[in-house]
Amino acid sequence: MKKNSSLPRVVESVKTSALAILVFASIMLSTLLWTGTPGQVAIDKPTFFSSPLYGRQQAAGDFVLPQSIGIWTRANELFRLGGTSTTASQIVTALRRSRFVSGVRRKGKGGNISAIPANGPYLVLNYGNLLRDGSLWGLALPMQGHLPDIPALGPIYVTPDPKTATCILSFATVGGVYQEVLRNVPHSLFADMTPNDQAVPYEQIPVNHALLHLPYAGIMMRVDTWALAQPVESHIIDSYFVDPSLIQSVRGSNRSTYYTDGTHGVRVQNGPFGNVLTYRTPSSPLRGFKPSMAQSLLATVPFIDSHGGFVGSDVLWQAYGLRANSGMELEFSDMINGWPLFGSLDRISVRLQNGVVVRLSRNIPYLGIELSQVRQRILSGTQLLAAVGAKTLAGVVDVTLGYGTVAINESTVECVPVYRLTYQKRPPLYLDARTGKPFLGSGM
Amino acid sequence: MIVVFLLLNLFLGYQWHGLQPSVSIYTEPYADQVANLQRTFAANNITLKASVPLAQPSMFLLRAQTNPRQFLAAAALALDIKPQQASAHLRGSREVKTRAGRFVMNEHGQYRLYIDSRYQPLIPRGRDGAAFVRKWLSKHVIDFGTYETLSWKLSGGRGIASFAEFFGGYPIFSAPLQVYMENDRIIGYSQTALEVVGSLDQRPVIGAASALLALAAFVDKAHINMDNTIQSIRLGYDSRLALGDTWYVTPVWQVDSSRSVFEINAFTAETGVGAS
Repeated sequence: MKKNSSLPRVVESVKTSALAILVFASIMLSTLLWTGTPGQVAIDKPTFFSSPLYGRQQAAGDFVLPQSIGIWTRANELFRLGGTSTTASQIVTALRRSRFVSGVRRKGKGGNISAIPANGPYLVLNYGNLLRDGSLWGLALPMQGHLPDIPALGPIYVTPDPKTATCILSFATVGGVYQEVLRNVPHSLFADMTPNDQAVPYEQIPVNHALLHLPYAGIMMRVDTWALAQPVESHIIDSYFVDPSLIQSVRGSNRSTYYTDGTHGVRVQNGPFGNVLTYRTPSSPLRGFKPSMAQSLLATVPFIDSHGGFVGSDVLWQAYGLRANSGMELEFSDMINGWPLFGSLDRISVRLQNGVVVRLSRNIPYLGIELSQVRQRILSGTQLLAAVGAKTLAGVVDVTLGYGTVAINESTVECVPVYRLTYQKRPPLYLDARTGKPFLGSGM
Repeated sequence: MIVVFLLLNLFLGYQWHGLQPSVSIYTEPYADQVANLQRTFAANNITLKASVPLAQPSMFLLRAQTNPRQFLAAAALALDIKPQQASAHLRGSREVKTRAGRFVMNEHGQYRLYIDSRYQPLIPRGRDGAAFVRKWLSKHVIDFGTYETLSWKLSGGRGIASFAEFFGGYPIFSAPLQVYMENDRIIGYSQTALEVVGSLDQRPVIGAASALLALAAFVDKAHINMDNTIQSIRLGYDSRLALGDTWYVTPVWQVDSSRSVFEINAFTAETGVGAS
């Protein structure tokens, strides 16, 4: 009796012990799984916290456009096309579809050889100084056969031959002139060389040994009133920091605020159109490393895309290397109806060091919606030069027509046609294109 | 119940077994980590000739300030005069000049001592030289007790000895003391004296191996392919952004190479080129 009654008890205690061991084992295994799962290791994190873009994403090549295109007709008449106009885009597209065949350098000294074709018709592509180190050819005119990276020291002249569907590109380079032959040129290019309603009649006027290109007649231009778009500031500031939880802010003088995580700094300061943002991440030059304009642009475009994005019709307006510390400066500007927008509004200035953006400056508000427009007649080139007088013209190297800005109130801006006079040794002077009087705008 | 727990344990055991390969990647042997780094750097012509530290401590984002109010005290110490005499030798508000030399403060609160040639101390040759310089500095540099030696580059009687202020056992690279020597004499020094006024956001830093991988990604992305040799890797604090008299210094892995000094933010792995 005793033996029979103890057996179930032994079985029960064995089962209880087994259950206890199994429960304990499950707790142990759960703990091991919980603590043993590897966490994320911070190796090459996504470069920057991405903010909601308030512009739009673009490829680097979209920014390397001619600032303007000159059309010289067979009758030696000059017309100007804005670099972002439809016809100018068609011309650039046609050139990009051509095929590079060969190039030759013609040496010459003292101006005894010229890149300028003897007779029209031909095109003059004004890329400013963008082709000065030659590296941006592949983005400006990517084509079959690849144009060589030859520095261009002035405008690019394009002489077409419709019979053979070829073009000759010529430009001044170091120690002479370089000429390139393009084949398979689309016929649309030859059609686009006939001036249409987008082409403004221009003339060449010699002033102080400089040849100025100015409107031949008093054309009608738009005077636009725009509402300023005000993006959410904190999103843009956060986008400059990998980990926004590390951001510390310090109040500065002049109604400015600094944000930093010790590596990057963002200063937000009041400007003529609202707040101006300046980003800095100091870096020393790396000995023996000097990135080209193309490398710099390819690094800058995605950086801007992930830090607020581009606005308007931005183009790369200027690019130049800094001799002092082997850095590079790039400047993006907006275009309105094919004319450059002067001043700080919608301008993005970028400095690179070792191929990395180390400084960026821009207005946070930007041109949003066009509220109204009126058309007004501006002074022709001859009328302008007569109005300003010889003293103002002394030392002038270039005169460019574009738009200046006047802040009407905190949220509205008027864009007015202005002539910008560029001097060799002093800051530019802006003149109201309607009156020829000094233009006292905002952020100019 | 026994069957249920048995099945649960079988499931958990299977999961744990599946986890082991990924865990083993994260606990890769040190030698393999270094070998991987050497291979990665080789693609960009970089040679790794430094030991890779294993430490991964918790560090802070430090709030530090220069202290322009101690200018006269620092000047008195540097020029070997009594503190109350310093104001009598003031020229403007940022320069103290005596027969022994000039002591200047710039707009960022950084000091510079120029010793007159007649008063430049002679450094004994040999091993005693370093000890002599340290002893001299302890008497002529304010807060020298918080500084430690970073590097000592002296050849032919000419060179620079670099020190940095230390906080919690790590150098603050933004607060250097550089001593200039010529013809076996100390000719002056420059000093950034920072006072840590706050330590924020304590968290573990990334390891040196991760920092070096971030550097490899940086040079690859920037197409930096010049021959280069990594000579040392050390952890410290740095910032090159002075906001008035306030600095936020962040933990960094400083990588000294034959081309330049790279700095990797030890919280975020962002990489840049620091001052050589």
